Amino acid sequence: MSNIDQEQLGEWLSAYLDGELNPEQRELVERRLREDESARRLLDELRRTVNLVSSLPRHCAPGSIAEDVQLHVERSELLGEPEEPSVRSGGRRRPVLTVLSMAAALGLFAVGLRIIVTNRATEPQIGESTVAMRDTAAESALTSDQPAPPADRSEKEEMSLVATADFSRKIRAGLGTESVSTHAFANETVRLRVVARDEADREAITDKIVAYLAERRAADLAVAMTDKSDRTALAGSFYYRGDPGINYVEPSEQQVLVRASRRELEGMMDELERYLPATDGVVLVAGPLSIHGLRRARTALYGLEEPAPAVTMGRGPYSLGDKAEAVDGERGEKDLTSPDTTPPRIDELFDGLLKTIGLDREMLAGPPTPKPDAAPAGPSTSKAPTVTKAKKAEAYDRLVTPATVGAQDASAAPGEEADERMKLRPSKDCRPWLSVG
Amino acid sequence: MGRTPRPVSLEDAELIESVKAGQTEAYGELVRKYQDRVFNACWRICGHLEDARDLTQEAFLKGYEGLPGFRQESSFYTWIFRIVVNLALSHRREAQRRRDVSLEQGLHLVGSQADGLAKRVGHKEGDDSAGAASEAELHGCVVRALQVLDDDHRAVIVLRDIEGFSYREIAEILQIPPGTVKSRVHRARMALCQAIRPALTRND
Repeated sequence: MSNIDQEQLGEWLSAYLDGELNPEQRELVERRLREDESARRLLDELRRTVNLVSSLPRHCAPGSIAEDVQLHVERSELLGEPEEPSVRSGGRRRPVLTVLSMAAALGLFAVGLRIIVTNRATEPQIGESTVAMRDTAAESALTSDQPAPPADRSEKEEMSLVATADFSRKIRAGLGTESVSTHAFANETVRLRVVARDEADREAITDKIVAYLAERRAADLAVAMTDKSDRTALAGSFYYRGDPGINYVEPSEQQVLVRASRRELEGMMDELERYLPATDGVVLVAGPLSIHGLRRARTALYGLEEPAPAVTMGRGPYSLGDKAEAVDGERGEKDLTSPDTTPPRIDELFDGLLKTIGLDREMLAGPPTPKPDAAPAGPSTSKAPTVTKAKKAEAYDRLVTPATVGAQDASAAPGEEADERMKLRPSKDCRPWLSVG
Repeated sequence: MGRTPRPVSLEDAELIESVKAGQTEAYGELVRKYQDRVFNACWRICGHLEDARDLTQEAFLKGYEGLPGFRQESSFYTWIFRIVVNLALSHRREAQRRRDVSLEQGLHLVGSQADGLAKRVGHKEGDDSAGAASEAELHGCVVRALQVLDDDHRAVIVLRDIEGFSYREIAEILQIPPGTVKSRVHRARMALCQAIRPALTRND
């Protein structure tokens, strides 16, 4: 041991601290420690480091993880997704969760249908931004390890895909564009990019967003944390560029990038709209979609009453710093709903799901959904369906459970709630990010 | 010599068998039991709270998918951690590929941005006692140093010093020889020592 080199001594000292030496090795180390002052100093330093690392604050998982996992599992069981063949058969099922899963699946359909009908009912107004849905599916396919989707999926598999909350899975499976574009982003994390006009503008936008995050998120952290350095580190963890957080590293790009839950973004968008009522520089990135324009993004996410967008699809992701792309989708995106694209299949799928769970459209007492053969050739030539928006909203409210839509207040008229929306609202539906304890 | 591998607890074994028999709610029990530790480890490895949440959920879903093939030769906890670490490291590697700023620059900015945010949310420097500030400084140094470590070394530190796994368990999770675990643990600690030495010296 006395001839041991410094590297091996260090390893043995670390293992000694961890109780990972055998008795002979431990004896050798202890003898060396008695004789060697530098070894004792090294051991002391290692011990202090280990103590510091092990004393870093720990945090509870967000409360909804277990529920979310349970819901996914139940849904996969309910819909018979192919990933868990051996678990699917046998055993008893908790009826309440099964019903909830059905409601959640149905809710996804309902949200999707509502957006479809809304999109077809209105035409884009002159001067308003265009929603640009950029098809990064091709790129995803290139980078994905998963095999290409089978062309002959069964109806059951198709329904499972439509109902899944996993947006990327829909894209990878090459699901029809209707289903993809009407995906309900109820609980998914979405990204918001704001292209500022100049540095001062960026600072102002950052202030707004940070104030909102401070209200909604950092406040929870502040309560949860007793150690201020860790509080700072936590703040840094969502303040760092890229994912998640606010892009503040490259000021020359004059962009602010935020990653947040859909619910968080709702309030954040209110703040932004208040500050930048005509912000076309806002790009909402949800999965492979980029939705350009603040009002369009809000419409897509929360089903507000703004005119629905033209739905277009381009190639390649929105690139950081590319301001031209952030304005009005002027880059010649491919029209998703033009005749040369995949015909809509959602009605058949919806009917299939209803049949599966023993319902039909009349039982839902909602308005008829548009037939595929009545689908407009494109957004600019779409015609309003015969049902009114109020009826659609009524049917939607009947269908969608609170668990599905979360904090979304579908019944609130934007005008009536305008004042409330302008406030920074603390979360009443979201659980604190970190629980104290 | 070291801790013996954790056997599959009776409770876990029963829950796993229940899940395999189709009682999916039993899996919720397993998730609730381990989610805090999994989340914490994800957070320390990937460095982002939101990503940690996503990764935690993904890990448990993958665990559910893989449960039929889980033969209970190791503990569920060790097994799920293998999934967790693989996911977190993959995620971090992917994030690093996308990143177009250097780690050093990023870390510098993380610090300054975090300070800025702390000020914005009303945190005032000097509110705490001098002792608390010193400890805070040390913790801040450790957190930053952890993020500087390369992925392999950060993983062993999280597993060993934060989660308390034995070398054998770490070897099983990372699927590397125990001797490699020993050397990685030591190198990682030496790197941390070096990074926090100035702060330790000031604190003395």
